Amino acid sequence: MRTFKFAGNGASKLFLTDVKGVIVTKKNTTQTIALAKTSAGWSTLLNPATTAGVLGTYIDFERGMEPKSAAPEMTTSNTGFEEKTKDFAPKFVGHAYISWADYLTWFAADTQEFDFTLVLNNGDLMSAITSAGAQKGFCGRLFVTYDLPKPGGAEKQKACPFDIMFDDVEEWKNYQILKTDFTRKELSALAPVGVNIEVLTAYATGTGVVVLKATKRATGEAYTGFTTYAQWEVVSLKGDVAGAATAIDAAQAALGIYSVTFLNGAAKLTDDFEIQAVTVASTHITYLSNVLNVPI
Amino acid sequence: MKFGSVDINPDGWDKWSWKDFLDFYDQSLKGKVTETPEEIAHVLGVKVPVKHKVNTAK
Repeated sequence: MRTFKFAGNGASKLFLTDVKGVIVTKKNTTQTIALAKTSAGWSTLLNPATTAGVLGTYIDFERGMEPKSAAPEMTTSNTGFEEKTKDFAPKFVGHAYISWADYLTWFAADTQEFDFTLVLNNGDLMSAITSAGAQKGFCGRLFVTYDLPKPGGAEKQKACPFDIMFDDVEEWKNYQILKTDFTRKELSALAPVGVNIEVLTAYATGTGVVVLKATKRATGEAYTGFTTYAQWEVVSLKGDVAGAATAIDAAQAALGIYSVTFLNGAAKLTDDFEIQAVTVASTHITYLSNVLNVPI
Repeated sequence: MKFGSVDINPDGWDKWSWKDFLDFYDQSLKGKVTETPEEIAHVLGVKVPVKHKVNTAK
């Protein structure tokens, strides 16, 4: 509810600064407004101590952002009377400042619903507010584009587009600008560093061992930090009721190569499973891999 | 739990049979650790079968 009253004009005529990024969170993720104004609040959601606790990430739109919102529907009656008959929720395409390898990790999120908190150039947030007064992102959907590499020029900067369509215009009628105590770059630094993992030698059903290689995104440089079994997490199983990393041989860690034994108790796994590797430093995730399907 | 270059999840080994553990040792640990199967089994809590001594004294 928002009652209209004449509220005066400010002495400054400053424009609202540009949207330069978005915090993507799982649907209905909320926090207090006081926390949303601090990097500590966002750190709890973006880089907590466990992968189960990760509820979102930050996408930088330094490479450009194009509003695509439709103008309100204006209708003229047969008497010539014109009025607004419909509002549309905003939508935009943001060109992410990420690598192609980062963009690949988003393919699995295509068409999914998330909440989006928009980040302004100065680090302030454009946010919805719940009926209980908590901070929440605008609900909407995210779309990626499967396309060839752009050849160059301005098109090159549009290599990693995210089409974001908001779903509820009511949330926009009550949006607030939250003055934060962090900068946009500080927020960007909270997101864990992305690492790519790939299967080097397929899962051996006789031994339960799969040889994996970890490299820094897009550069191919070896990542040497996934040396303990606990860092290799089973995300999902296709046919087995349980599965986990039982042991890891990190003798070739300097090359980013790890021989990991994945078992279901004492039994070998019998069907595809998905894994993710993570490094936790103290209380925060610092490195996080893509989710990798290990075929069997 | 570290043995040589191998890190092993220390949980759940009390449910393993000795035969399964020997398979695991051969497949994931052999040549990478200096400890015997019995030594590692003892540390992890795998039940090791008792070896009966044969009395050869006459």
